[in-house]
Amino acid sequence: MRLVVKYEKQDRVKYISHLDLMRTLHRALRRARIPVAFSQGYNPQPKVAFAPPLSVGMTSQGEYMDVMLTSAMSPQEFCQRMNSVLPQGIAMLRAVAIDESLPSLMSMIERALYRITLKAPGLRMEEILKDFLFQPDIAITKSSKKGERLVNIRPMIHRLEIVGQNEEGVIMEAMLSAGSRESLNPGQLVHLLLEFAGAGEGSCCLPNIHRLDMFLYRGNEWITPLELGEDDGCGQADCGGYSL
Amino acid sequence: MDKSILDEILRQVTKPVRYMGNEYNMVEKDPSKVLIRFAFAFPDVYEVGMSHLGMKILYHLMNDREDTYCERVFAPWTDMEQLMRKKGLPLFALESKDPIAEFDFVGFTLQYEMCYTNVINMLDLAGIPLRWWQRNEHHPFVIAGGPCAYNVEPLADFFDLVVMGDGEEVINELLDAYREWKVQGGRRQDFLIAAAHIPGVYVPCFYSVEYNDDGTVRSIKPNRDGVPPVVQKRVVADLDKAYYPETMIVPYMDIVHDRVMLEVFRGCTRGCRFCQAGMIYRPVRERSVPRLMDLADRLISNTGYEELSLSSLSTSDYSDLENLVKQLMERFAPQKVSFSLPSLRIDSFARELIEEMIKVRKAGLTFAPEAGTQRLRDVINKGVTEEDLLNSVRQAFELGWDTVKLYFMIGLPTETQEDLEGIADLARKVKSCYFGVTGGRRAGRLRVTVSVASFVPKPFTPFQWVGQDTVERMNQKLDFLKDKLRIKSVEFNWHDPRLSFLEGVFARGDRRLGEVLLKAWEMGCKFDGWAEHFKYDVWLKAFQDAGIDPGFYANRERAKEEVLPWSHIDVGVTPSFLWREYQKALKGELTPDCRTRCWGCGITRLEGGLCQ
Repeated sequence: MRLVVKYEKQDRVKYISHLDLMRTLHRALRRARIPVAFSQGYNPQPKVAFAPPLSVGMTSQGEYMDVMLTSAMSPQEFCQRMNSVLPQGIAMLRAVAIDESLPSLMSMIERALYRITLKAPGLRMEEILKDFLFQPDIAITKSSKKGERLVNIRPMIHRLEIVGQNEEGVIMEAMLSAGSRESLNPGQLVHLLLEFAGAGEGSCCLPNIHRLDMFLYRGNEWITPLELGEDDGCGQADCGGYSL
Repeated sequence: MDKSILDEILRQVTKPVRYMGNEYNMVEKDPSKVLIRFAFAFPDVYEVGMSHLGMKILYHLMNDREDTYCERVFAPWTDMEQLMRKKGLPLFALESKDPIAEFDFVGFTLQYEMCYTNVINMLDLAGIPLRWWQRNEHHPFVIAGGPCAYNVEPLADFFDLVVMGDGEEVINELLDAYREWKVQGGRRQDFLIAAAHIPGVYVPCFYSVEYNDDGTVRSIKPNRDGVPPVVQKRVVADLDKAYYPETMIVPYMDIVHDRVMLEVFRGCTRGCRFCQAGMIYRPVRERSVPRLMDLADRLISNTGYEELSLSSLSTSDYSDLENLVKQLMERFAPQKVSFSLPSLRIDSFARELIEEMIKVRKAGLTFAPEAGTQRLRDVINKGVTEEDLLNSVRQAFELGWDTVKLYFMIGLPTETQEDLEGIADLARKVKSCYFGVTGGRRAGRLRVTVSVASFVPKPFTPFQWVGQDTVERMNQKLDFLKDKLRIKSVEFNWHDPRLSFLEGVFARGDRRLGEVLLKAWEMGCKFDGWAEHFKYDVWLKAFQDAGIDPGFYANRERAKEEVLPWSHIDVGVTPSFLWREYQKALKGELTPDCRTRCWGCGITRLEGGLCQ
């Protein structure tokens, strides 16, 4: 049985890296006595896969993992058992059973939605955003094993707009490419934006970046991984709606 | 504390998770509802400190008390320290993020001599006056324990009190006494007087040291009535009944020993003459298999760890090891929990055991012959033969291992050129053993690592009177070995001799070294055990400024009659036993394992000192 689980990473755990988070969840799975399948071979590993990682320092209410089980368990029970053994700040929000033959989350997910709060006194963000997005080409250098290359990240910004303002600054939402094919880190986006605005690193506080959700394209629409669930479509997948 | 300042800092440092806390099984209490706040301080970074078993035991033991909240604090890495000083953020505890200067106790564990400047740096960063006489009723009591606490003299100025021996019982007695003192509201000194009456508690300020004209110690005597002239270490008699945590904090980051640690026994009966742990942790006390199985069950299910290590000074000496490993395998192999057995001795390297273990996972193999020839191994009482070693290595190669590590020491008493050559010979024999087993197949995969450290004479060992090699002499020996060990498939690495020298100075130092520590710290020394931060020249300058010759402490051979700076501390093992062992060493005579017969080391004099 294969479960896709949505979970959150709150402020108090935002400094743990993706590797740390994976280790933490593996150990939580043991504590919760979840019947996780293991890989075969010399060094058996739990069959747990993750959606595109979140950078250190960011929070999220839309993280996903993909767990293979050796025996059936209701998604609701999975979440309950995990939540009783997780450190504060990490919580399973909802789980669904999905078709085992589907590809990995990492290869299916193509976009992620972020909320970026930026304190940028003196900057007219509305105008800056408009001009920034008007550029047909935003080239950055990406370094990889093959060396450095220029990449145009403009097509990776699908939406970038101001949605509000509070005492912490301007609140923006950004829909960006994410996943194994191409991806844009929101931290880098903010960096480029400030550079474009001519603002030095020191003139603004570091932004608060929060991931809202992730999306994949299926049947002509953008859906979240939870919508891959094999439930009856009544939205009850998280409340014991599991059926074979 | 202003959490937004901390947040701003954490965004800028490497590994911010070191300072975050909030790990699973971290104890959370309302600080306003406890009487005693205790900061357990480890003078190194998080990932080193969190690997320390003593902290895990005492953390949960103290937190089981309703009146006490024990929190953790580690040495912030230099980038963090710099930002904390810049923003005026004092050293805080991981649990509550409250400044440790507000606590009742700051308790350091002293595991290594080269962490002493970190102790000073942490006190400074906390805003706590460095020396005991500068502190008043508003400051915490700064206390210490751990193996280096047995000769705490170089740090005597900095600690209010020091705990000798097993902490499990004495810490509760200390907290009870503190509670009484705090409720009654006495002077700072009143608590120290009460504490000095607790067996195992040493209050440095109640002892005065006098020196001879030649710089040696003339006497160490109590300077007030009612203080014991000799402080005897504490021993937990029955390990099965002793406190052991049923849960452990599970860190997020990869720490040095990231696994459940199950202490199977304390102490060691082997009597290796260079080994301080083998002397100070006596007597041997084992936990029973049922108790260990019960603890393993609880710890694995409470932590979710995928690995468990059986820890002790010499795990293969556990009297019922086969049975224990078999039961652990049966219980945990289906859960994919793997095992590690550090400190296996090569003479008891049991093939069956290893075959059992590699069913789950294959770890690296390390052997510690310590010396290159049989003669020198007899001097140090390492009762291991070349045949033992080669047999074990052959078995490992037969089982499919391709890499082995060999640990040696140079500068051991009576060492000759032949002993150094013996190190290279042994490496060569291990290599040819591999080709004997594999017949030339897998040839490219063989890796023999020869690791060499310079011998550091330690207090409370038979070699406590010995003069350590000078840095020049150590370097000559290393150069010789570098040349001899130019062998294909053999990798040679060594411990910095300058570091070994300073370890030697502080291990057998006296109170006058406090000034050197302070000067070195003022000139920027910290994290001295980390190669990238070690500033040898600065250390030499600190000695010079203080008018102290470090060679006096490290390189000088002591006479039998000399009053050693730690002579007012009784670890159970008597000076006369140690001297006897020293004389036997010089003659190359062995003292067999004390499970075979009692050699009268003196430990049985202590309450709970009965050997099993």
